[in-house]
Amino acid sequence: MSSNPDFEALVRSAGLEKFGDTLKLVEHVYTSYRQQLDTLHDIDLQGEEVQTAYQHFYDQD
Amino acid sequence: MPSTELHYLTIEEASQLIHNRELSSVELTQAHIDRIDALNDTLHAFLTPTPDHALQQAQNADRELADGNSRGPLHGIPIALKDLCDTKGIRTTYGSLGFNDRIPDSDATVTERLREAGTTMLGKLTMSELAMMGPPSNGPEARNPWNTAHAPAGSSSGSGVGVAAGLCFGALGSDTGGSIRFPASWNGISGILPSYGRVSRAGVMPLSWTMDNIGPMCRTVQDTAIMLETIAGADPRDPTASHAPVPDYLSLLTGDVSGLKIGVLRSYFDSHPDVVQPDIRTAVDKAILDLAEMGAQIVDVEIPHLEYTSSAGAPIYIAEGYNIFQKDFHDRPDRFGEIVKSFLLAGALFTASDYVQAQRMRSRLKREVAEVFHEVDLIAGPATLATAVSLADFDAMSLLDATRGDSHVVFNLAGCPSISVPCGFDSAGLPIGLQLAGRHLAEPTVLNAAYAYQQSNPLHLQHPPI
Repeated sequence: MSSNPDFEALVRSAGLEKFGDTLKLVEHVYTSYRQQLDTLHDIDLQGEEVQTAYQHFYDQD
Repeated sequence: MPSTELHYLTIEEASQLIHNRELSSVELTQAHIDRIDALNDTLHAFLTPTPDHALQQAQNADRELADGNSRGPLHGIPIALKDLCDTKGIRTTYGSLGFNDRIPDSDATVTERLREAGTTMLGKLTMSELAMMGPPSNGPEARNPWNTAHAPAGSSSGSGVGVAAGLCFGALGSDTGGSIRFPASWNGISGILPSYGRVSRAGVMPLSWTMDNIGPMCRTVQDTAIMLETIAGADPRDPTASHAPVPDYLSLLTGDVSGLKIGVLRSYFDSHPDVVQPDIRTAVDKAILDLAEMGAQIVDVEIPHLEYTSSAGAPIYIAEGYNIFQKDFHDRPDRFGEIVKSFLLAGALFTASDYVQAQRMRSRLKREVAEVFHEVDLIAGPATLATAVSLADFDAMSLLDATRGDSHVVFNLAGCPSISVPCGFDSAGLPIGLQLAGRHLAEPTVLNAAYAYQQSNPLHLQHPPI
């Protein structure tokens, strides 16, 4: 599996061990998205709520 | 009329011939079946052709017309469906071995609406597995008809190829993060991402409930308008389908853009100079100048957090997609391709806080897009950042680049309509698309601007050398 113990722990907690060699690619994908997500967490989104998909049109119908 | 000339008629032209009884739907449908037989081994646009089904529908269409009953402009017109729209009794596989034998017992609402409009359904089209970014796992990848060594773009790959190559008059695609606009651009046709909620998704494979949309892909803007009007509207089977009245899109195509304000994300692209292929930027800038010469006013606009679009969009659809296919992956891991698994399994590793933060960024982006649309009617830009890559060079992992989809995915996140219309060719003769996006439910404005551009730059009359 991965040489990164943090990633290994994540995989175990999510129950993905069975996916074997695929996990190398998963780690590549996850690491890239993790970096992008970390930048999102650094942004002050005060005032922004989670809107439901429905609101996209209920506000404008 | 020679059958070779039938393939590149517009829906309007074919419909007129059928209604004048100068051409039967059976003749037209058979001509397309013959063309699919001749070209599909090269292009792989169709995963499951349904010639008998189409001919049966064509016979019914001709009989109804002989009785004086017309179902409208799509009566007797051959179309095809991305293989994620359910078709009763006809396998619908989502481009995946994991669903290779899946036969729905009912039609998707969009399938039903096209059937009720009198179309003949030629078959189910190749798509990226589970509408992600890789090839299908249950059949060959479609080939770009402008150069068959090149990719067709995804995920509505067969839809783009089939329409461009004259294998059908129109097709449905789905767009969660560019999957209608990208193959429309790379195959040199028109394709519209409708407003969120404009088209029912009942009976269509979900990848992301909050970002998925179904829309038409055709060779002309007029044909796109006809198909969109047919499939749009409220649906009791889909609570997210908008109850807003569906306009007569075709009649609203005036070609007049005078007074229209069009925004350009100039500072974003200037600050990311390597993101866009140079000849795409040249072609798109020229297209925007053409719109200005037709009377539109061009202004620079900014979406302040645009560069965070992909960072927000990807975790949303990947987390939702993992939730949707989790049981299938765990029960039958060997039935799914490596690319689709590597992307969607990452969705199991995001935290709830990640997903919420991504949705909050989406709210911010939606607000910023709405503010821009207080100032302008449309936002124009490139429909793709590169022209069709060669299949040998395609690397799905390159799609992890955070700047790849910002200026496209932002309209999925904001729920706004966005069209790709052909605006040129690169030095290798591969098509380039112009993206025009508008306010929520402003499809008439988007379609009309694309129509105006198409009328002055009739690139839709050029067809691939196949």
